[in-house]
Amino acid sequence: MYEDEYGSANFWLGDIPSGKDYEFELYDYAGRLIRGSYSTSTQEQIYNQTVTPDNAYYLCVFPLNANHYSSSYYRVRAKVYPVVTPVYSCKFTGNLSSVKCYLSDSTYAKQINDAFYNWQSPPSNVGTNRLGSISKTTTKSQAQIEWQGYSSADNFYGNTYFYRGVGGNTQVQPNQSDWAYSIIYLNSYNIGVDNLKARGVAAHEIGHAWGLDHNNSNQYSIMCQLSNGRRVHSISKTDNDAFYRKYP
Amino acid sequence: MNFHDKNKLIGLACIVFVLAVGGIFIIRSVSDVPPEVREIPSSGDLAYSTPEQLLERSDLVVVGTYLGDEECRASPWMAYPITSGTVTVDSELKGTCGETVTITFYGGEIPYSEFLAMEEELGHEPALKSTDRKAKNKVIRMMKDAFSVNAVPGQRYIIYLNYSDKDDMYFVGSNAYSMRLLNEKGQALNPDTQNYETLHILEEAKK
Repeated sequence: MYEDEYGSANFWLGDIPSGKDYEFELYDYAGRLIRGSYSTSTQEQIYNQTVTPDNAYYLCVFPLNANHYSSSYYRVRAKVYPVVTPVYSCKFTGNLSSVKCYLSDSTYAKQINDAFYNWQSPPSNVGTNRLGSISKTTTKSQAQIEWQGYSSADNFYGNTYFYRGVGGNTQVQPNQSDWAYSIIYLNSYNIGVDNLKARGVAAHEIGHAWGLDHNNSNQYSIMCQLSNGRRVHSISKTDNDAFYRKYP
Repeated sequence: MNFHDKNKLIGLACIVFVLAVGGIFIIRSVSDVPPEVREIPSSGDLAYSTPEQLLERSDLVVVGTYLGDEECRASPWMAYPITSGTVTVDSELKGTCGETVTITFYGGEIPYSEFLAMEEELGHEPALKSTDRKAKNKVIRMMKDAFSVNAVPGQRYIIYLNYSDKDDMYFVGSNAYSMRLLNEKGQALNPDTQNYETLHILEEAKK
């Protein structure tokens, strides 16, 4: 079984032939035992096993001993419950098929570009979404996302602010009102010259601009804050799923 | 005084009374008009939040009592409101500062005009329509939630501070994570769980 999401998994072995005692064990990609289930009932289960993306897991089913061999069928099921990325109550009202951004500060222009591309064309295991073209504009009034820079020892990598009117008129709370414009600040004091970090922070802030909230219990989500140990610099399936839920 | 004079006098008194009450009403309405508040919510990518990370990254860590807000102004880096106040220091857990230290954090409110002026100074091309500039009775306020600094005069906190050379200030970096309220047992409030917890650094300081 190849896993591409972070979450809690449930492994089930059932329909064990009558009178037989089967056991099953879960191994990681390197063949190390993670957990086993060894009851004598006709069903076995491993609950709430944390699974991580881009990992292979092996389930091994075997009889208790030679007396319990059977040629009859049994059933195995694995179900993953991903730690989903939450979304704000309200949404971005701009045209998702043609998003334009305006760079007031171009320090991280390349990383911003890469982050947009990541959202626009995610890898196949992440899925697809309805984002169309994302381009830069030099006319602020045509933009839906504006990028600014700052430098402060405030322990933030970036911040996103939401506005109802295009051009940044009337600031709103994303759980109370839809928005048409976002201003994203990137903090060069903390990001420095770390290109990968800059791309990840940009992708995280773009996620906010679409309406995704923090997912601090899933370190494989781009919406997990770096302070909570985010391990990725690009979007994952749960982030794209959240976008898809919001904009089907 | 005849009947007509009496009526005139009563009429005059009524007019004076109506004018006086109306005047008071007008004066009250003008002075009592609350300012139009624009609260600033934001969503960010925080760099550090655990006590261990903050201890390692901070320039100064103190336990002390917040005396009160002294100044609220636009921050020189992002135009959003920051507030400064003094803390009387009980103990220095990292770095040195003396008996008191002035701390600065995101929070408070500033007039709209100040926000716009700082945005222009920063070259941020104020993200607001020109008509908004005429709004006089308007303020910008940082929205408060469980993760905002909640600096209450008279309360004791453990405070993790970053020193900014450029701005010559000790800044409370990670909002509420860097200014944790202490209870009588000396435990610190965790903004995530809203529970008080024992911090290793505070236990060490007791010894």
